Amino acid sequence: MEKIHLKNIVKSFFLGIFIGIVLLFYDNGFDTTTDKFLLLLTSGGMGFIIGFITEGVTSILPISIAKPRNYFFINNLIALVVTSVIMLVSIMLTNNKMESYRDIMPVIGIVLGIVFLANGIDYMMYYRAQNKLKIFKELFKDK
Amino acid sequence: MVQLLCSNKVYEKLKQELSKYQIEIVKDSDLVLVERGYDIPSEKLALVFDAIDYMDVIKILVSGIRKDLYFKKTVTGFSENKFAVIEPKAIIYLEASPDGIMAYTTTHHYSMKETLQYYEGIWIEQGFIRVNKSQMINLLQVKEIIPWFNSRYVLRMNNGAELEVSKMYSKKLRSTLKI
Repeated sequence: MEKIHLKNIVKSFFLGIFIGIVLLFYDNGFDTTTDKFLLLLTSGGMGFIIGFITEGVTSILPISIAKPRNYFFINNLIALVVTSVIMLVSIMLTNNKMESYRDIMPVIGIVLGIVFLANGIDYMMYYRAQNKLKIFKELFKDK
Repeated sequence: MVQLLCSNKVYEKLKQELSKYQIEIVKDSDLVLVERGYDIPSEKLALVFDAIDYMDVIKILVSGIRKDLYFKKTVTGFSENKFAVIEPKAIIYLEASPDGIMAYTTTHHYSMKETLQYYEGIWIEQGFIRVNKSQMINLLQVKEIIPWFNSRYVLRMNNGAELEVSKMYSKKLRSTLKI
């Protein structure tokens, strides 16, 4: 539990809210302010849950399996599985305005698109870190 | 020699740390360490710090001002009943153990005197950085930085060792490399 980083869970909450905002632009079915607010709160809540599960599950992973491809694979796998499950369960439970799976799929597509985009940025950060390390070493060579 | 202008609590902590490096505390030194909130004396070189960052002041003092004395080019390590002179750049990482600290090079490992905290202070300019409670690494010997979950990193070193950067120290790594 001590490895869990609360800051990451909070970031996940805000990513959820961002997804909610994008969904508001996609789906015009949320007419009232209350509906819109509830959507943002739900998507934020989902983000929080996903963040919590991700932090919890990954805190028990052994360091011995730490490799870039494992990191990105696990990251995307968790995002894919947890997001899909929560989206499907919430849609089934709330029985909201989207009635058919044909309506649901684009929404899941948007959600996963944003999640994968966030992972893409993470991948770029990985390359950036290697470049910064290279620059740091070169600076020391010059000294 | 330094003068301290700070609370009693910080004074005691600084006194303890400074004594490790034989830095004397006097009342009329030209160099003053001033805790934020205290008056900065005029016509003296003052280093202002927040109470919580008192260890950073020690690091600056030890790695900068007393550089001539403490910027050791070599250290002595003990391995297989022999003493060896080691250059810091040859050290891949240092690890604290119950018997003292161990220095790992590509081919050997040596036991060394002092503490990790001591080398953290004097080797910061040699590219060394603390990565967790018991290990300190040479950034020049890092082969790859692997991002890991829970704001941690794993560093793959030139000798194949994989060391964890704990979330507490990952911020320091990021700021050092400007990631």
